[in-house]
Amino acid sequence: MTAHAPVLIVVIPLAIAVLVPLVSLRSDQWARSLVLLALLGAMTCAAIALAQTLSTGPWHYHLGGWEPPWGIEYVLDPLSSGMALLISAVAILVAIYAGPHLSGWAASRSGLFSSLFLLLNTGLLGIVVTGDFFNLYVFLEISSLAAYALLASGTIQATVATFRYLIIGTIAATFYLLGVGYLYALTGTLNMADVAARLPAVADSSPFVVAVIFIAVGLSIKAALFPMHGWLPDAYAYAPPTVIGFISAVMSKVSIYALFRVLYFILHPAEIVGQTLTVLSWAAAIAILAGSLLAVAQRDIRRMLAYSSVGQMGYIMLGLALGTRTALIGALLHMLNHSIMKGCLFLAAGGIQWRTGSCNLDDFAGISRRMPFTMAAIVVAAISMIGLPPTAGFFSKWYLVTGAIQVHAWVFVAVLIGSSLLSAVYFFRVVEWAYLREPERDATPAIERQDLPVQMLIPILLLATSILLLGLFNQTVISRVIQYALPQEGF
Amino acid sequence: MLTAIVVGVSTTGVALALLIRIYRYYGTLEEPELLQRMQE
Repeated sequence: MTAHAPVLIVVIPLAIAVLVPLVSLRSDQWARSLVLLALLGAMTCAAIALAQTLSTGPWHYHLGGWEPPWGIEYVLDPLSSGMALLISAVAILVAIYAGPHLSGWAASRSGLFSSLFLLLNTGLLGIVVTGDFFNLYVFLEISSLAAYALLASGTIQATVATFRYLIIGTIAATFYLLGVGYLYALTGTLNMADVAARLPAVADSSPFVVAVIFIAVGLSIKAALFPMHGWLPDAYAYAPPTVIGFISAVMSKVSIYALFRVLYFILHPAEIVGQTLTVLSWAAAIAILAGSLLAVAQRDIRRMLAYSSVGQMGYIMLGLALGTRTALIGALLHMLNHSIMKGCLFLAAGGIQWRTGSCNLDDFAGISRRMPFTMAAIVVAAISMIGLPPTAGFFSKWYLVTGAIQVHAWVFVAVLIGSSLLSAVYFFRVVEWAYLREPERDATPAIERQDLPVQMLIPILLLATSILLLGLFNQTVISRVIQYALPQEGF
Repeated sequence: MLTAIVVGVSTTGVALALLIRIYRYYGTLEEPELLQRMQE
């Protein structure tokens, strides 16, 4: 079994996704356990793969026994197996959290919801483990289609927002596909390692420049980098909370992962890649400022978190674009941290909306007494988002700022620190409303203490705890995993 | 090539399903009208 772990990461969720709608017609309980089992299986395989690659180096798996340049290859190195582990772990927590949310639904509908959720996982895990450009496109579309359907399952506004996202997302995927088309025309291969080997002969040609730019633009739209983020706030604000907890936590990270993989591991020696990275670094700096400023202007908590995500994606992108060892460590650590922090914040905010029916800041007055545990988790995650020690957010920002100082990019240092101050503004405002404001007596009748059901509370609290643990043990994470996940040559 | 066509068809399918849902609720697909009705 362990010999096939790389492909099982993708196959298990895919196979169960087909089964779940049928099983849920018979028993909802079984269907839900099946979803959890599938995700647990994927997580186990990812953990096996991570342990294996850390001890023996990258693990190449040839699908159907076909040799790489012809067949599809899955490559598991510490970066991809680490991402797969993160995705499946967050997915398990979200699947547990989804229980009470789905319990009011008809069996056929909740079965389809679980099935789509597993398909979304299949797509994301596939993007992470594949070593083939076209296979990556297919998984990108699998994850996107599942995400469109899941996002649209909210209110009618969510459907309109999703339609916009669908148009933009399809354009993004087409950009990527065209870029891959150019690469294929130049090198005659779709295998990533093979493209890298044939690169020196074509690196100066103008079609190659077009290919790099198309791929970078396509994946940046998917990752909602600033000028291309238009689809994100509406989609995040109206979608069902379960979905958004997962999508905001991992989906945009996966696009950045793909960009990182393509630019640093495959096409890196080419000159145009360096120029693309410079452009991306300025786009990222603008994203950080714009995201934070727009977040300050929002009254709706989920919209505020959405704009804050735009800013935080800028942090990760800036670290990647700076490209020094410290900055890359910061970017990867921030990818991990932000998944956990934003997952925690969105799940908690979604829980509050589920309980009180509102996500508006004005209705947050006195919420800390009504839902103490949920609010405590929000406070921990908020402190981490601002970047105060000893939470996880401090350390990744520390690496990012140090990385920027090393290359004397003082503008970026100022941007990173300034945006931390802005995030302090909008997160402390939430804390102030929740803890210090008294609810208006006549507006809200009796407020009794009534936190979320245990099923929803446990994932939120687990995420909040891991923010603290990641902060305390960040050195271990870096020295055991992240430093091996960096591209090895030239760093 | 073939895969890209399959992906294109399924994307169009999802898009049309979303449009049908929007049309059933708002009774229109004209963008200015739609945005106006969403404001209300």
